[in-house]
Amino acid sequence: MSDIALKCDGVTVSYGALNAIDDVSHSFAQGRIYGLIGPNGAGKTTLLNVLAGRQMRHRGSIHCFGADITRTPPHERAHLGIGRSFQITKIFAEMTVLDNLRIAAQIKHSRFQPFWIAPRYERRLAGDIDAMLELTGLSARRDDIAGTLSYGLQRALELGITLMPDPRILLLDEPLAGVGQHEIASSTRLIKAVSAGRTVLLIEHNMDAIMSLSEEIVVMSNGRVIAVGAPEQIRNDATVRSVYLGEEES
Amino acid sequence: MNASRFDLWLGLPLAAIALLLPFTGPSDFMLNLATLVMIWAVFAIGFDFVFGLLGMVSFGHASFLGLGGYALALATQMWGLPFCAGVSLAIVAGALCAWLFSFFALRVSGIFFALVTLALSQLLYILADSKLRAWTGGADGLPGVARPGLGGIDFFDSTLFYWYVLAVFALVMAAVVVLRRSPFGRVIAGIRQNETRAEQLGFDVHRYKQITFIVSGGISGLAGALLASLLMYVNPQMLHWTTSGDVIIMTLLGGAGTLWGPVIGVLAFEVLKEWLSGWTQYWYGILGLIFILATLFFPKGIVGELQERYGQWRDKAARRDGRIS
Ligand SMILES: Nc1ncnc2c1ncn2[C@@H]1O[C@H](COP(=O)(O)OP(=O)(O)O)[C@@H](O)[C@H]1O
Ligand SMILES: [Mg+2]
Repeated sequence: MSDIALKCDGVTVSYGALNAIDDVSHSFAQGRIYGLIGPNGAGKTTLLNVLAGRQMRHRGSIHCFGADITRTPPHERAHLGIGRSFQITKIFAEMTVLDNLRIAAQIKHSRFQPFWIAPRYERRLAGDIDAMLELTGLSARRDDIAGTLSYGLQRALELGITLMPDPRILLLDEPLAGVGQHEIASSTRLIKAVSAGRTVLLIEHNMDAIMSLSEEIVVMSNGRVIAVGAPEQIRNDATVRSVYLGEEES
Repeated sequence: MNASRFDLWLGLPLAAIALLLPFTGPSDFMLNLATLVMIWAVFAIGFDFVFGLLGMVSFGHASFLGLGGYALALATQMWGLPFCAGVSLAIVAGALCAWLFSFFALRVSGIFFALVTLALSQLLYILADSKLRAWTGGADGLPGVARPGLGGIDFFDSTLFYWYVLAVFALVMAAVVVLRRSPFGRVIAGIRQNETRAEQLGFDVHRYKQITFIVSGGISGLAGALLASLLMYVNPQMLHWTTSGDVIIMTLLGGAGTLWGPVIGVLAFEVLKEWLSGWTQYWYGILGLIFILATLFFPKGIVGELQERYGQWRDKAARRDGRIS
């Protein structure tokens, strides 16, 4: 058993002449919460894509708990415990909130999905679904069509879907983007609650949120990791201020 | 909106008509037309597994239908197998062909999926028409395809064959209802709505698509066997791309992805065809025009449109009741 949850070695992703990720080598320790920051286009989303298996065309290698997963397809990585939410919400928009969580619960309970109506199986899912409705505060909206929810609630649902299989590693891409001001505080609390006991890579532009949530900050710029450190250290780092924080303030 | 209640409201009158029709003293022509509609409906339902449920346009379903027809013909004529074995073989043939197609077709998506399935099925058509003449009878086809033999019942009688097909049709409908509501069906619906999400959750999307494609091929093979049995004849026309085109048009007309859409689409298509062709030789052109107008004005198809109206009506009723109480 390795206490490194995720490790990338010399990872490079090229789009034509542009290196979206440029020779990134970094290890993410088990059980730690990492904040991934950097200006738009720095390569943060691309890095999560590489880790989750959405971007398989890259140089270098990826290890998960010591196992080489460089060639492992995304659905297999999910079974290794990697859960992922997206910058642009990905939910089953035409289904009810309940069915969204139900599908997510199915993958947790069985790799085989029955072709017939299976009341006993559905009952086994019900407990997990109720718990997740409670956690995400969606109990009252369980019968609403997911696509009709407010954006903030859709984000909460996506987080619920992502959490349902109980992933050991959480990759969260801007979970607060588009969330209304009045929902930021509750969303931040929710992320904090679900991060406990997991390895988390969190991309977020809301500085207050990411500095309070993260134990370690990784700063990216032009496809490279340019600084790593504790939140207060990064706040005061001159290079980081010039490439990123300064930009935000101007 | 409660889709299953809507399906019930639509299904009950259709079931009543289907059950009462033989008692209204119909002509053989009428009975054969009704039988043909049910068989094509089975085909359209099978097709809609890929088209409506997965959201992929297959232009190769003629292959599964045609192979089903040939499988029954060969099994009963060449190898002397009983009808039931022939039908089972037809299902297996359709499924197996879909499985083979899936290796090529599922590598690509969108328009390329349509093109690959079209190319593969036209290849099969050309083979059946020429190279495999010894098996398929070439362009002449194979006449004298069997009717079912069950405990001495004469299924050459139009009424009895109608009952046989109605029973198979009902079984297929029941199986489809179950599959759509099953955990598997839910995953398929999820894959159509957000493939990335399904994959990232841990579902082997490719495998699910493949299984659905195979089930679709099997149902189409069954329809092919029934069609060959009704016509007592198979020819390569069943494998031709126009057959694939017709089933796309029928399903779109009725409403892809809805339970009764493919059935209503086939019914509308066949009834219009009979009516128009007795009227003018340009019936296919007029049918095409009707189809274009229908897609412009009811893009969700007849049943899709009705289902939406029904949903709006129920929402409104619910809101009104909420305000009163
Ligand atoms: N599919 C793609 N094709 C071409 N360029 C891309 C693609 N995806 C991302 N990029 C480019 O890669 C760089 C990194 O993008 P991204 O990882 O989304 O950045 P971030 O998430 O940090 O804002 C950007 O310059 C972006 O334009
Ligand atoms: Mg991004």
